[in-house]
Amino acid sequence: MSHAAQISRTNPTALVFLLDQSNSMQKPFGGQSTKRKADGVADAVNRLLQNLVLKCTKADGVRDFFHVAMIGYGGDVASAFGGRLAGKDIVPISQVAKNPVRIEVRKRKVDDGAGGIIEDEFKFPVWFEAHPNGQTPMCAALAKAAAIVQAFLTAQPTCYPPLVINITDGHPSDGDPREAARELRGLQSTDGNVLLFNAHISETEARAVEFPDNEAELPDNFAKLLFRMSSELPPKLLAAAKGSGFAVTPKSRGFVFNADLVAVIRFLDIGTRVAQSVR
Amino acid sequence: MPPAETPLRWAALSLPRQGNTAAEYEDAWSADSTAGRFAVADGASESAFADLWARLLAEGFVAAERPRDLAGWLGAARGRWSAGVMGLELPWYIEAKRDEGAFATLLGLGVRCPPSGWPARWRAVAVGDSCLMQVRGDGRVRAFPVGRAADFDNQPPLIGSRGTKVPAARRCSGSLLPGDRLFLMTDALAQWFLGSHESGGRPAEALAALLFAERPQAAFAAWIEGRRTDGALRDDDVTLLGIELGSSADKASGTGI
Repeated sequence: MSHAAQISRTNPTALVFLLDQSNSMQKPFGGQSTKRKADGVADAVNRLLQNLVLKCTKADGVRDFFHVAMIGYGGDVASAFGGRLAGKDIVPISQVAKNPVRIEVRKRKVDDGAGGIIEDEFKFPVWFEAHPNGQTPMCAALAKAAAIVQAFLTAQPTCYPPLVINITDGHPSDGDPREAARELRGLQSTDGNVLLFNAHISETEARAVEFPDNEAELPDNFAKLLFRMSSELPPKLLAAAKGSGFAVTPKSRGFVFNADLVAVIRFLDIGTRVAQSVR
Repeated sequence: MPPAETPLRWAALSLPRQGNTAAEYEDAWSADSTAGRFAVADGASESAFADLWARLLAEGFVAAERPRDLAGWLGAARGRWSAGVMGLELPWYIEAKRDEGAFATLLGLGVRCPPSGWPARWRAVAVGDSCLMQVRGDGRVRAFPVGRAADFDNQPPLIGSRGTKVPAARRCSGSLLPGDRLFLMTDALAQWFLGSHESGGRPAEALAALLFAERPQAAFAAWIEGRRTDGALRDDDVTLLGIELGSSADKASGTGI
């Protein structure tokens, strides 16, 4: 079975985030008047990174199960890390943990355990802030991801196949990205082909779609294009998605519309998982 | 306490996952052969301070007045975990992880021999996929709580170190005859054991030979590495606690390693 390698410090894998930073991302997100699509992308990637860091955190620090790249594409195609990581293409997750651009203190309402609700403060690290400008060079971004992944595969040929997560509103400006996507998905480790998942951030209020197995119910041609570019969920991820209550089938793809991919981080296997139901 | 004519000898072995140091081992075991109490626990990889929590669960079971009544002693174990980790100055990520709590499985076993001899009795309680194997002299196996190698996954029931929730536990009991062996083990080894048994092997013989070898830890480490290399054993922390019930009085009792 492919995509079955255990992810470990001796056999880490790579996660590459591609973040659409084009001008069109300044438009409102999901029918909301106060939030831009670019802010939706920033929220999504900061939550993904936080989940990834916590997944690897033990009492003595963060274990490098993952190496992380964050590429923004808009006016240029370049590393989207800031602060001490600025300009770096790919870094171990422990470096991501130690170097957010800033840590915000946010508030949330939680159960007080006695039937009431209390407000609780929590720390929200920020690695990525949106600065939309320019076009949408998605083909160039996919090629950049392929170069990063190829170098990683040379160093880690037996790894769980790297996962590329592209977060975009899906209006490519440099041609049809399907060929670049196909080339990226064609790269492989001994454990299988590179995975390309897409999160489509839309202006419309159309309902969220998660891991569809066909494009019929997708609302527009950009969503359909991204669906076609997305890898099918390999069996272990599919089983984990099913176990978490997603309505998936063997043809389900790593694609979401107006939803986030945080669940995918939970599905990646680094050992005994803590089910939401036992927390 | 087992009577003199049914001596009990036991031994325990453990090994961290490949590439990890002994300090990164997150299983735990505890034993009190005088009380006939034994336990193994497996701290979940995806939680922090899980090694401490697994140890507190195993020790909590062995020391409890009524160990199978988890609600009766879990609160005290949770209090000890909190005392060990709350109030520490930590970076944001370890603080967030600590606040989620630690999680672990638990398998607890009580062995009781009536004063008048055989059969002895055992009773076990389990949350999660750490397993008990009872092996008869003729090779028959009774497995609890997971019965088949195919039934393991990476999301077992777990006990959390925070809050007041008492997870649903599975309970089981049985009788013991002279020559019976009991093995407590964490999930990777249990999955190997059941797979080997299902394909006609005699896994208990291999494990007993390791437990009571001349240099058991070295023999165990070499054997585990071999099984990991040939792909028969999933790379995970491994813990094995074996108990033999002899029929003669010349065997040592409670030879813990």
